Amino acid sequence: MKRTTGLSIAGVAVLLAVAACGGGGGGGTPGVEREAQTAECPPLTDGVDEGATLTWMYSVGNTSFDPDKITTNNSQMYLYPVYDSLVHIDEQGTPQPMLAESWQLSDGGTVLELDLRDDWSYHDGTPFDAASVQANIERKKQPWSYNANALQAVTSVEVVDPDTVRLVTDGGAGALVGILGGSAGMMMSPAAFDKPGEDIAPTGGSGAFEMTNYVPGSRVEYTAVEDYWDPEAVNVATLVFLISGDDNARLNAVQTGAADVTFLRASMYQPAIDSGLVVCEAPSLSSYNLTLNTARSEFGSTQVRQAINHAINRDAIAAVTNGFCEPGVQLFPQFYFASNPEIGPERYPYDPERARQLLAEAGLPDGFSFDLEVINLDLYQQIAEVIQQNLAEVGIQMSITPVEIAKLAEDFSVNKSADATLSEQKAESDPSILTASYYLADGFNNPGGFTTDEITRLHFEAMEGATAEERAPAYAQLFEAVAEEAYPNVTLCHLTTPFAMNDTVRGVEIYADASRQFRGAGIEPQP
Amino acid sequence: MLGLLVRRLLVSIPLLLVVSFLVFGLIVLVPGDPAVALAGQNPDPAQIEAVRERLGLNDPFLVQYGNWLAGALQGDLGTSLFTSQTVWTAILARLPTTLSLAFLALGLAIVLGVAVGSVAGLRPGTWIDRVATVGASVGVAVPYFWVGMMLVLLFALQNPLLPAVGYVPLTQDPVGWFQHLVLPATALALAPAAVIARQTRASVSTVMSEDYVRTATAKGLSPVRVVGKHALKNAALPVVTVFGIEANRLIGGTVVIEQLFALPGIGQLAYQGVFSRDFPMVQGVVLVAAVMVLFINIVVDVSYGYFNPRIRQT
Repeated sequence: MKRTTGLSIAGVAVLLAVAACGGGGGGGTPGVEREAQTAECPPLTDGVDEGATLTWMYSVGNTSFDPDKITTNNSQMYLYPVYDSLVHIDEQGTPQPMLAESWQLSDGGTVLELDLRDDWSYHDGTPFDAASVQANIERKKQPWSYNANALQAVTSVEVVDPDTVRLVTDGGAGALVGILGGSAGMMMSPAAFDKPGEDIAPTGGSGAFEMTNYVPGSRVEYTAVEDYWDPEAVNVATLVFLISGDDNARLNAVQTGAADVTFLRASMYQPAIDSGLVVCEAPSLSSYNLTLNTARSEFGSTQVRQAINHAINRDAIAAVTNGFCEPGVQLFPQFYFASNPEIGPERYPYDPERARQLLAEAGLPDGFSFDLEVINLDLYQQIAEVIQQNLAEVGIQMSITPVEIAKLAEDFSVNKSADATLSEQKAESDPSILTASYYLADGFNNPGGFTTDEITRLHFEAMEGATAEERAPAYAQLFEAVAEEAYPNVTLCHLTTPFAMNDTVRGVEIYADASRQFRGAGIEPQP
Repeated sequence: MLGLLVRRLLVSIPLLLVVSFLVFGLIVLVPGDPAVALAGQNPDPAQIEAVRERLGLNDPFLVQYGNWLAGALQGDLGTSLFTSQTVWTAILARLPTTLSLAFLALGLAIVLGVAVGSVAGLRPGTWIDRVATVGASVGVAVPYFWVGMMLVLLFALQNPLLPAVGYVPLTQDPVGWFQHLVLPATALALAPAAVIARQTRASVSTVMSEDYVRTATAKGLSPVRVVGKHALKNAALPVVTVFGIEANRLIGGTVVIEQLFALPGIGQLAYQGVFSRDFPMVQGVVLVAAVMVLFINIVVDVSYGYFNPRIRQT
């Protein structure tokens, strides 16, 4: 009996401890364990070993080494070392010269003229010139290309002279500058276009490295090319990308020296700190979004969407992510040019009373019910449970259906059979790609086809400026209109990206668009 | 013996057909359309439909299966939907890793299981027997992945003696190959070793009380010869049966262990294939795994003839 009693006491103690630890996910005023922060990675020094190997470890592999045959956004990470783009999007998300040294907009913002670098060739010896750019853009516009949709505004490509090319559009050529910073702007030797095996063993690259070994889904090795046009961007002899879907395996790899750098999920942050690794972090353009199908449930009502915005406690969601997601209500964070700097989380404060009032005004005083499809990973489900509790407080009953990511897109965007989804939205090379997807009537992430004339007009207007500064005012107006309408994609928070690395790594930049580039990174020799 | 082998091989053919048909059916039933993932950035319905048509995903199930089977019979398992690599190339590139892991784990399981089981079986009721029995129970109970994580913690992170992740081919560096496989093979071997130890203990303790063992002892044979020549060989039959079952389970265990230790084997390939809906890759990996299981079963069946000559005559 004594033993049984002892076990019971121990059991109750464990339950109490678990209950205490789980308190952060509730709907009240939870304490955020950790504030989102920015901690820069160790900068580049003069002492890096140019013969060294830098090993990065990521969770998923690429689908091709041909920039037009990739099928996932993440694949671009594996292409950056091999292919230079016409434009480079830097770590802040700002376009910088790369294979195009400069550019100008003309003809009322419909033509983008690019002045090309004249001192570079593709890895197979083919000269890099305007004709090769024309061939690349025309290939990327083929219906089968991954980049076809991004370049759909381009109506023709004109060679002005060997070092100048003009992209003629039917409107919004300014957005092309950012778009040409991703796979849509990656330049591949035309001689390699139809070469068999090019998508596994590329020979027609234009970047700082050549791919020299590839085990799909496991390992990629790159070797630096000689006489690269930008020598400051190459500080190692070899780059290795390892792939493992297991979070612990990646962290163990960095701790034991099998890899130099990896990214961290929230659950890996403290173990990485505790093991003495260098951890740096930076805000990203990625966000968690609750996206509603306005053709289903009660989501066609602006008041209902406003009520949902007020019902959700974004601080509680930040707590669930251990502070790795800063509360926000716009698709992009306020520091990005494509945002409205005046619209912060206070635009839709956590206010259950106001939410109930809005529901009553919408004729739904007793609330309603809907189903949320969510990616079947722990963190997403924890966030969904916070939302479920928040919405229940105002009378909205939300059921949660965990599904795999492949099914999520199929149900929501293709079959349009899901009421709502919860997912992470990563940034694209230009904000117009996502605003088209979410805000235009035929957008992939807008199954209800919800839009307004003003929002559609502002989306296209924001594509016209030549620079971020020129485009920013239109985006500020666009996101004001989006906030006013309580658009069907309810942004919850913006992610912070942490990296863990050993203490010899220098010059790694965390790109805001989550593109994971290692341009200029180096390794200091061990003492 | 040859007849037994031929019979087993003939039975394997319809079995492989059934396995391939079931796996193909199960994959098609899994929710999630690969065409959506393959259609690129923010695709419209026409682009998704074009991908479905190109991949033959609009064909009736039996037509899809028939096309795959026709290719497989000619040695063509298809091409990965996502990496453009042929399924054979992907499997052949990764098979050495999985075979290395499986052989090392099985070897370790046999050595450990037979040694511990024999010692316990020869001294039933002693403290050695009790420790071995409890140890075997624990070994059966703890899951592969937990053992793997503990081994990494102890021998790679806290005491950096062995690598925590990765693989080095045997041809490139035999020592590195062994070092990279010690921890995953040990994690994988523990449960089969425990089962083999329990079975060996039971068989040996039974055989040791048989008349022929008493006769051999009475004839003045040394204890080593009594155990080695008479007891172990006769105790081996149930142990071999258990070995076959455990070997088959171990092939399944490689999927988890290869993830945990970031080993580029076919288990990792299967895992990635399932999550990306890479139908041809999953189908190919399962077929190869099924062939491995059938091969193990045939080896076990044939070995019965060695251990018990009466089976050869039936």
